[in-house]
Amino acid sequence: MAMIEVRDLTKYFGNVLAVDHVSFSVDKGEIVGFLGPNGAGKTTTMRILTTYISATSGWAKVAGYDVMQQSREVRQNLGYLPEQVPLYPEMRVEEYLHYRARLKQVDRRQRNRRVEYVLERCRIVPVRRRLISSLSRGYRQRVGLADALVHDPPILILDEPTSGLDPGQQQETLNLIRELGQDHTVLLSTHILPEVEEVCQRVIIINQGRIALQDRLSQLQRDSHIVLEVKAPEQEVRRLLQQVEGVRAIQSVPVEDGADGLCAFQIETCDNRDLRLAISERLLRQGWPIRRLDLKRQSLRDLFIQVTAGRASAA
Amino acid sequence: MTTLAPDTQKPDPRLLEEAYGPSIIEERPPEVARSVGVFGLFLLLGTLVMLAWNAIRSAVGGPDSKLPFFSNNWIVFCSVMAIALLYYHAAFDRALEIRRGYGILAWLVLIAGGLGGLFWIVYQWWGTVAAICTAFITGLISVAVTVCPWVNSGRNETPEEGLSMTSEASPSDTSVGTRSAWAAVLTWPGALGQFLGRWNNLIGTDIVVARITFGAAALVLLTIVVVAMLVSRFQWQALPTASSVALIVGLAFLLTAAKHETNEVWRLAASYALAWAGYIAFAVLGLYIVRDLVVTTDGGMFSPVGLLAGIFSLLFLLAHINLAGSDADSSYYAAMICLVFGALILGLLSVLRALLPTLAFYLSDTWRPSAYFIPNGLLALILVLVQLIVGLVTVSNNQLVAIVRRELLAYFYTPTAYLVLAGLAIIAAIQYLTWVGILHVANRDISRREVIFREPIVQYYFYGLLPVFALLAIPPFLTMRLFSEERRTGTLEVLLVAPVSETTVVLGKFFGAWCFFLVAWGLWFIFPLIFRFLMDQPFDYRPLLSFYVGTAFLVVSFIGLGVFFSAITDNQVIAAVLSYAGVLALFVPQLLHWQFTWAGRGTGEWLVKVVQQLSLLEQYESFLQGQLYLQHLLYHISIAVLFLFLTVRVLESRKWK
Ligand SMILES: Nc1ncnc2c1ncn2[C@@H]1O[C@H](COP(=O)(O)OP(=O)(O)OP(=O)(O)O)[C@@H](O)[C@H]1O
Ligand SMILES: [Mg+2]
Repeated sequence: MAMIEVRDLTKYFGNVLAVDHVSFSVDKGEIVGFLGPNGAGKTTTMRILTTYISATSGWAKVAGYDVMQQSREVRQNLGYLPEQVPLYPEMRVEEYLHYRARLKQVDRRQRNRRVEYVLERCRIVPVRRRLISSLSRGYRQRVGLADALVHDPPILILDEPTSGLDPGQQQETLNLIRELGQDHTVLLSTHILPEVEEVCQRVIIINQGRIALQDRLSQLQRDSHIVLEVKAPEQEVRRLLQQVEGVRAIQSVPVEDGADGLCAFQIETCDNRDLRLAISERLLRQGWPIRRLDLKRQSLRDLFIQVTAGRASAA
Repeated sequence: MTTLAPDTQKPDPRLLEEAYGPSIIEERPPEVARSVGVFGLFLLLGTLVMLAWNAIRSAVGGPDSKLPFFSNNWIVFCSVMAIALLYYHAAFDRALEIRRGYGILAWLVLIAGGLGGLFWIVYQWWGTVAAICTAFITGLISVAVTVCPWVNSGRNETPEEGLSMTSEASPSDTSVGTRSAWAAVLTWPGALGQFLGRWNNLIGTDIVVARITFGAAALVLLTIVVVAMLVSRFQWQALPTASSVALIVGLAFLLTAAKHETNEVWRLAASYALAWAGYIAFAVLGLYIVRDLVVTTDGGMFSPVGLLAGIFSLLFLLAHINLAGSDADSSYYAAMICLVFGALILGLLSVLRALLPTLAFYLSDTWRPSAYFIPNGLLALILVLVQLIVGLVTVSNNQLVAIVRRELLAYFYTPTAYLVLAGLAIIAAIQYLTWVGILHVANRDISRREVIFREPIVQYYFYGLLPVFALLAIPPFLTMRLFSEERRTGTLEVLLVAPVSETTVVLGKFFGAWCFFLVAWGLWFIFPLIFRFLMDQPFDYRPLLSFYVGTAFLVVSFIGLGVFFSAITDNQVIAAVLSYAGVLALFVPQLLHWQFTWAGRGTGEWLVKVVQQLSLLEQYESFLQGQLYLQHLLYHISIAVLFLFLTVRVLESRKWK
């Protein structure tokens, strides 16, 4: 069942086209990474989903409710962590969470339990009585996350939840998100791609307001190629490689710190087969010394740059 | 689950200390607070010396020794200053032990005040022996309640740690402390039983419990002795006043100490002790209501002591709610009791007001209760209303109430509230002095008496530039921050993404500002109360009521305006300037009215009539005369409604930008 469903969403800010016919959907229990370069329209899309702003055209449904017509139900079912994490600086952490719980209509009997739970969950128990103004950026981020969780919403929309955190905290937050992903639907935006590879099941890459790519992560990472560096005459190696069964294309690439007589290739194989053994066997039979023979999966980073750069030059 | 962060393990005590401690304290050098404290201490000593000197002089006694050498004014002034300085020190000293020391002292003062008050009440009713017995039992219960959390929190700990009072709060001893404190609050006999039962086998093993117990018991005895001496020998009429002062001072100091306390058991102990004191005061209030209804035949309703008990019960319970957090179960029950009790009294009052005069007529030839319960009944009514509001605000799940509560509290988080309150207090004091001056002059000068002593004389209190200025100046000052600040910091997004409608948010902010204004504006009435009760000068106070209600509605339009202007800009200063411009615009009919009067235009013209109805100062005067016209109130309400509606539209317009 689709918890978030977006069709042809378009948003103009005056003449600026921020989101351009974006369509996607997020199923229940999925963690989806929402990626894109700065100014791509991630925050704008998320704001439309949270009903904070309205789309110029197109529609979106969250938890089955329309963001325009049933905005209250949408907000009841949604926890949102904004990009800048604005908080009231003059309140104490605990006090703030109690206020938010009350505002989000958590029942009185539940309220204490929920607040204790999110304090624990977001690891802010030690700062519970501190003034928010005295918290560091990372702790404010966690307070924001606690606020997003306090009314136990089935859907979480997190705008760069790990920006400004130290590596340890980033890992912690990721673990938390992964845990939450078991019974929540999560849409998160970030610029740190290894994070996405770690927690997300699916990615949506958006560029200049348009969706550039969306697919399951496992699907995206299937593409692989073999990297070879060998000390031998280039033409002969190429001829040899072409005889290996399953090789689809061979491409010469410049050698790193070009040692003498070394040549490098990038080899693509049919069905992404792993032909390393076959290749090394042939090369060794010739007596050519091999410096490197490696299977390289396509990283999300390469894909991201490829997709967004391609778009930018096309536009 | 693997965790990397260190803080998921058992928290390091230093971190805890830092986390729970008040953040403001970190920023100030400790020397300032300390020197202020020492100065306060010297002042207090000085006051004591003055008192002693007066006492010795009157005891040794020459012919002129009837008059005290140091006037009471000086003594009062010095002691108030001393307490204020010490309070500053108690709130801002960096050392936990010192703040804790103040807290313990405050608790002792509180017990002494409570015992004194109870002693006096029981003494009035049943005599010395009963009074001493009551004081002793209450004292014992106080000791039990004080020690109870520690006795119980020690139970689950390892023997080596025992009852270490300085042990940092850990989750387990928090919950144990909660439970035991609960027992203490819910069943005082239960607390006593727990205390006695455990005390027996703890006293041998733990020196701390023994010390606390004996120290407190000694204090109780000492208090009883002092109180008994006071009652038998000295001016026992002073006892209620002294007790009230002790209760207020103790409450204030204990509250700060507990707010800044790092150890959960200490906090809980203070918080539940306050609740406990609140319930006792409640019981006293109930006692007095029953007495006033059943026993007395002089027709008076709600004697001052009962009222005082009511006020204290409210203060104590509020302090408890403040400390425990309004979501805590104990706060919920305290608030519920406030609600139920308040509603009961309100119902009772209205029924009595309707029935009692008739009943008295049929039942008795001599007993004639006063039909209007004024002024004590009126004060009781106000008390009950406040009680109802406090109860509702704490208990309610309503979003509007949640926002109003936050907005109200937000004024106290920032200097705004203190600026407004202090400013109004000063203005009111100046006006009061002028007023009393006028009355004095009139008293001496026969020719003016006719003019000035014509009721309502309170109008001279409010005729003047300052009150009008305050009325016009305060509302924009209160509203300028409301939306502009949220827009600037971006919290508006967080607020509006909660499942709450724009209308609720706007109304919440509006009512928050209005409620704060109502509280602040109430400062005007303290001075007339002093005039009435302490200086014993009766006067017609009813115009004060119409004035309060009238001005309360008059500012509704200003606040509505201010809310709107703060929503259209993210700059507070611009919002304030625009709001002042708006207030000035509302003042224009007044200017026109003056113009017309000077020009001597005919009063029959409709334009002149309309302008007169719309001019603010004309309305202000009619409120002072005790006249509330519906059209005046509706005028302001409709302006407010218009601007609030526009504000909602402005908030919604963000979607379409
Ligand atoms: N309130 C606004 N008024 C005008 N233009 C806006 C507004 N908000 C966003 N934009 C424009 O819309 C586009 C998308 O912005 P958005 O904030 O959604 O990007 P983003 O993907 O979140 O970028 P980042 O990675 O930097 O957070 C940008 O060109 C931005 O300038
Ligand atoms: Mg963004």
